[in-house]
Amino acid sequence: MRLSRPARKFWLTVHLLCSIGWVGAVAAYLVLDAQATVGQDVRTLQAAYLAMRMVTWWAIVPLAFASFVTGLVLALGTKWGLVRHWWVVISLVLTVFAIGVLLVETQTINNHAALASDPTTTDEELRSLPGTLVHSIGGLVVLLVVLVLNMYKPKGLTRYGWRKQREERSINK
Amino acid sequence: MDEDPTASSEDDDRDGPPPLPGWVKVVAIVFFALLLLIGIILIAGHGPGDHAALRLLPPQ
Repeated sequence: MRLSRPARKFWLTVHLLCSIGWVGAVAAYLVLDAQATVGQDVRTLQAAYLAMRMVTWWAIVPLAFASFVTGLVLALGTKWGLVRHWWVVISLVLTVFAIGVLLVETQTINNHAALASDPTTTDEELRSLPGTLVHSIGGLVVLLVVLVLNMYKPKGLTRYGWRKQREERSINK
Repeated sequence: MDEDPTASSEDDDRDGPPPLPGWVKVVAIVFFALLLLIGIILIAGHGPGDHAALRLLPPQ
């Protein structure tokens, strides 16, 4: 099913909003994560871990899923398709990968925030918590790669895309 | 995805399926190389993921 032009514009607007919002939320998280990784002050660490949990659950996770769903709607509702062009396939794979890592990381973030808010946690325990900086940086890089692919749309048909293109041409002739 | 793909491309008149574009290979190689590197760093426990390793000041 093809989307009408107004519908396509609407979904594209929502998709851009969610995708750019996702990148922005990860950037905000990265600042907190860096502070938590290099910080010494226990109150700063507590504040950073609690803020990281809030940013994750109230911004990153909803925006990630919204971006994924709106991307699917756009791919399936336009001639781009989901598996016709390599840039769409790679964007999809990277997005699914990023969401998978994000969901795993939410457990770590919950754990850190719970320890930060627990009055029985000692300062040393809080200082020795493992950081999530590698995942934050990796996540941001993946999102930027997807952004570049979506902007430049490099050429390259998949086998399926090439076959469908030939079928459509033969029908039109 | 703001516009539909153009009707013509370099893949149009091929007899067989198009080859895998070079940029796809580059993206795949870089992705798996970074994945491997991050995996090694995390398993070794001495990278930026190691909270204690990045301390700028000694613990008080």
